[in-house]
Amino acid sequence: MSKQRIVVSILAMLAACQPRPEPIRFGEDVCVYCQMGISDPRFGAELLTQQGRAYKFDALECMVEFERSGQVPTERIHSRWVVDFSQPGELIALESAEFVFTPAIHSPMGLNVYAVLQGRYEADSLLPRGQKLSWQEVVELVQTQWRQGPLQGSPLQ
Amino acid sequence: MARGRHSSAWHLFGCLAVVLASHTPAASERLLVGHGGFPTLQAALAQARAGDTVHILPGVYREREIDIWVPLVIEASPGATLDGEGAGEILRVRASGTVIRGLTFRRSGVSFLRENAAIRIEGAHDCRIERNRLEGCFFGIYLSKSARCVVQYNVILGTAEREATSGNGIHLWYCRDILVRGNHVVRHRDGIYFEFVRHSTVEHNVSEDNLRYGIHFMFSDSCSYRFNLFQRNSAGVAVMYSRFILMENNRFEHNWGESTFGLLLKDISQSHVRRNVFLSNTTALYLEGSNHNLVDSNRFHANGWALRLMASATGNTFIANSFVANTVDATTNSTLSFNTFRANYWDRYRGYDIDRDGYGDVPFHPVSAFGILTERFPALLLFLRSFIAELWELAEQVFPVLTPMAIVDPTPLLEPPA
Repeated sequence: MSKQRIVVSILAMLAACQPRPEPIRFGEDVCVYCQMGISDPRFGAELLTQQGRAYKFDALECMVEFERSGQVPTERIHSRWVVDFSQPGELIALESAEFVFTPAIHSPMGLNVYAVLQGRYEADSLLPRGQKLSWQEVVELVQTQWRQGPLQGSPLQ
Repeated sequence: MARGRHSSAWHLFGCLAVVLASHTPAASERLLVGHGGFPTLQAALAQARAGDTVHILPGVYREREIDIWVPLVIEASPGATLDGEGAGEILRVRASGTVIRGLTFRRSGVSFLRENAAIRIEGAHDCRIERNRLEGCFFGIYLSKSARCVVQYNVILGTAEREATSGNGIHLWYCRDILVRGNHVVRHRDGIYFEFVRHSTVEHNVSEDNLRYGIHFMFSDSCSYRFNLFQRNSAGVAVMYSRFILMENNRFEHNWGESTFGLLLKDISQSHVRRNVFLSNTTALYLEGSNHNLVDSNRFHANGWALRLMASATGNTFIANSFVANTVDATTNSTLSFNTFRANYWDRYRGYDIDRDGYGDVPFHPVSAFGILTERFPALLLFLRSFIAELWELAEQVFPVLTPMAIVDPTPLLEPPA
């Protein structure tokens, strides 16, 4: 009995030690990559380190570029979180999200990709329609199109 | 011969006159809205033909999602108000050459899915939006995929208390050759916002008390902003990811806060910052990832940090600026720096000028060792004026360890530039 209790309490302590994502305070927090004030609650991302430090971003683009900069080595990354477009301000685990590229929305850094909980895009026809992407495809899009300048293919330039 | 040419010119003129005359009746129609005229603007628009003038008489018109498909002049008597009642968009211009003048707009709708504006110019060119008054709108004036438009002398008053429920005052997306002049924008998210804009000018505007930036440039090359006043914006002004920007004769004042910048330059290159006044900001000018810019003839007065130069900013030149009464003149997060300083005035400079050429005879190092430390450990600011900090500075002057020798003004001015 007491052995069980010890096991349970150890498990509880371990759970308590797990880094938890910090909610993004829109209008107060600043993106650690681009320095912009984080203001649009439909977008945003967060990177958690093993030590529990939270790095907040105004958009997916900034999280991708921050990771590439190597400021936090990959082995020290605990988890990645993204804001669910359909529930403004809510962070969901990157693994549980899917991504949509659409010209119908303007994201803060110009890539126009939003994240949404898996399955919700099909379920909710009010969400802006576009092309579904995996996280790997988002990373590639950032590293090819976005870094070379989002102006390509613009209607006026 | 000469006579023949003359007569053919007259002939051409005659033809033109006939063509113009035949069009005149259709082009000069004047439609009245209110007071016995059309009951609503939408009713008038249904009858209006290209080139007509629609005049709105005083009154409150509860209308929204109004589309303009043919070029018109929409004007109003004082007191004519279009009220969106907090839902949806109010007026959408889709015809080139439209003029919107002298109206009052109230309450376009807050939405997570749509950027509802009071006035949206959608793919229309050569439009003029002038002397309107906007009150409590989500987005104010929104130009998208438009060229050669003028947005001038509008008053745009947001009511926003939180960034999330507030859009931008004047918002340009994929535009070129736009003039934004003499507007007054208060309490929006960003007062003026540019994304993917080219060859546009922002001048003589006042942008104040906004929840984020007074003006915000993203991916907008070859634009200029001049003679504007940006004050008390909660994050200051940000110019990002752009080239060939001219920023002159602006005032950046009273922007205070932990991550607030008079002017934040992020990934800006080949741009020119001149003759601006930075008064009383937490950080007056912050450069990150910004290269080959010229910063000259600016006045930095009574700021916390006048200049914060990140290691990623190289090849910038600072000439003839004056630094007076700032808590810290300059800091950097690196002991290496590849920027040039020449002939600036530093009120901290204690050198002499024996040859009386106006320039100090000993160089000035604007970045103090303590400045470097505070950039790494901001909490050390607590000791800014302490005995320990001064002792450290003294030691650094004798044996520089942390002081970046590369940031040096070899010819500091003895008197501030005129």
